[in-house]
Amino acid sequence: MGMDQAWLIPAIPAAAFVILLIFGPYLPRKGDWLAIAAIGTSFILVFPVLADLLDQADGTTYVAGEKAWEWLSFDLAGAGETFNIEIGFYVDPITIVMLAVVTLIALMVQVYSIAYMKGDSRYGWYFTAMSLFAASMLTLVLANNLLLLYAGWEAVGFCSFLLIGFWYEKRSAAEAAKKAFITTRIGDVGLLIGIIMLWLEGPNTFNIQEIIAFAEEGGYETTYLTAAVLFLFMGALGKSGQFPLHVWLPDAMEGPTPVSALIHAATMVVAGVYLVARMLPLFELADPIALDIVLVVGLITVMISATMGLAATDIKRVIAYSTLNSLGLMFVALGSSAVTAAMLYLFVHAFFKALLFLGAGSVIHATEEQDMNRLGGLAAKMPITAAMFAIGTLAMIGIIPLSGFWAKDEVLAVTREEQHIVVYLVLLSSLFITGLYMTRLFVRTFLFAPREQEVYDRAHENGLLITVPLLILGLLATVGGFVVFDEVGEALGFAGGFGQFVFLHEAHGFEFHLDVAVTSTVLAGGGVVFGWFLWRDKAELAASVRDRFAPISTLLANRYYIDEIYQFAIDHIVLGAGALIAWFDRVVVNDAGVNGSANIGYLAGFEAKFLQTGRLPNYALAIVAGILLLSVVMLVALV
Amino acid sequence: MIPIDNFLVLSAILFSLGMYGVLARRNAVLILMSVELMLQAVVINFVAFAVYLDPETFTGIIFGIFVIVIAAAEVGLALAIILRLFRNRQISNVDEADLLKW
Repeated sequence: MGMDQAWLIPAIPAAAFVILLIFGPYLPRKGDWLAIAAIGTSFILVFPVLADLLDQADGTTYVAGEKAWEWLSFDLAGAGETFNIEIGFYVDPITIVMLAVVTLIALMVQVYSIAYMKGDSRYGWYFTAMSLFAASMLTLVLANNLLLLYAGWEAVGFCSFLLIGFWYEKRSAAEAAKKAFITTRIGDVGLLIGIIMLWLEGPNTFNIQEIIAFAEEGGYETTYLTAAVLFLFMGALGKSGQFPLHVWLPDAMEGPTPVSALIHAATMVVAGVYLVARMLPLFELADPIALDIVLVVGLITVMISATMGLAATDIKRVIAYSTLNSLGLMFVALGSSAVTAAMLYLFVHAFFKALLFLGAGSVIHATEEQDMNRLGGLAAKMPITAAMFAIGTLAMIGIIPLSGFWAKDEVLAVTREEQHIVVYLVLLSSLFITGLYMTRLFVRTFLFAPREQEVYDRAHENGLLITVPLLILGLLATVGGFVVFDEVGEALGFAGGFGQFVFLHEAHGFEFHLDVAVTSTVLAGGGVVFGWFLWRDKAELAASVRDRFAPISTLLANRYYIDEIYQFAIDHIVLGAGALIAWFDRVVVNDAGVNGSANIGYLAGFEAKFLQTGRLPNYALAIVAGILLLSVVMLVALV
Repeated sequence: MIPIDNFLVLSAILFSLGMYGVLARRNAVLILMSVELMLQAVVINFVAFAVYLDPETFTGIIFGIFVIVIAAAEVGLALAIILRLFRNRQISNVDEADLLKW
């Protein structure tokens, strides 16, 4: 068992999906154990693959494992070349990080779901779709060529659609599913265009490494490459909910909470980060404007999501905005070509964000309420959930020594070195806002007097199936950041810290940036303290601030009116153009074209039928006239 | 040997007479007779060309016999139709039988 058998990791959940799809309803417990066993096996299989990768590595030079099968091969008409599509798997450190994150979080979430989804009328279908998601996501991560990656990419989008709309009887859930699917599809079109562009001018292969090697030899024209990678980035934009395609992610919270934890926090939404990280050599070879766009998009997303998080009142939505915030940070890191920082943030983000979502799910499961204005004071009744949620909150804010701190510190250090000072300052200010809204979330949900006695009475700590995943994730969210230290990495069998495992050009050891750490801690801590005073007790201070800045708070509560702008554009531009095209289709194509030509035939037939008089002499005359005519023609032709 | 022109002229005259009959007559029996006349004009053509162009074989003559046989069969069929027409509708004039129209 080594890197060559890495294909088993997605294959096992895929097999579980097929079995559950066909036999699920007849299996005991609707087959939830099968889905969990499958993802558990996948999780365990990551370790031998990792061990193989480390065995074959020479210091910090990693030999990527690649294995491919031919899937489709035919001669290109006229081109004299053979067109190959492969199913292939590629294992390198980035892949390993993604594999570990996806399988571990999926395992936690599925165990948690046994309790959370208990008694649901589509309990079996839930685990079937979860298995399909795991298989698709792992395929996406392992794919060695862009087409297979794209297939996985679309499949996770489809699973996301299924699971957001899991309770499709609810109109809002059905619409959120549709919105997520269509919004991400806008980005996916760009991704497909980018893939085709890279193939068209490239070395007649979809293999990612070959394309990168070809680009490094200067195979692509710079302008062309820039356009291609920006189209690729469009896909990442949609999938990772970056501005301006971020609108679907908050609405996606209509799905079951464990789904939000797995798909809309820890795994699927980071596929965009993974894609850009994987293709980063191309971004670097392209015009610098490409990476600048990545950076600016990330920065805008960080700021708008952090500020929108201040105004949201649904606990899941607040966490969704914090996810956008984190994803924005990852793109800022990628925009500075810091794969290490981005992947480290991705790694620890998966733990603390899944923890936050599962904690929120624990609250929702116990109280059947997710509006912060109706919660409060739950810490007394749900101590484990509250403690774990506090860890997640502090990790998200980035308080030392929790995992979020180390990753955020890397991102900040990179931007300070690589980018304009403004970028660094904007990121620092976002840390303060993050501290504010995350504190608000925790304080309003768990502390001070309950706002609704009835909801409070319902609250209780959940069973082990819910608390154990919370505790495991809480532990990982606490210690996950320590992988940056070389000593920790060596103790775990790596060559060194995270920077010596995942890197783009050369490995680098861990450096502690005291000034960055102090600045960020002061700002984030300031956010926490300020937030505490704003929202303590009955949040009177926050209310007065809100009234003072009424226009701003209205703007934030309405999410910058971006949804309204899109709705307006859809109503007037898309539907207007649609009406025009519909008119063209109805009047020109159908009435004039199809029916028109049919009418010509009909009218001609109607007029011509009167030639059939039914009288024998008329026919005889016609025959004779015809013969005479032909004779004349013949004579003329012959003479 | 009689020049072939004579036969062709005879055949043309016969054919034209028949054609005139088909066009001008109204009585079904007379039209049938005119058609027969045209057919016989054709037979004369066949036989004449057969003798002049290819005296070794009988192809043209056999065709002439075919035409005669088919003409006889046709007469049997056509007379039956004309008889039924007369029996059912008491008409022998083709102008009056015009049901097969639009």
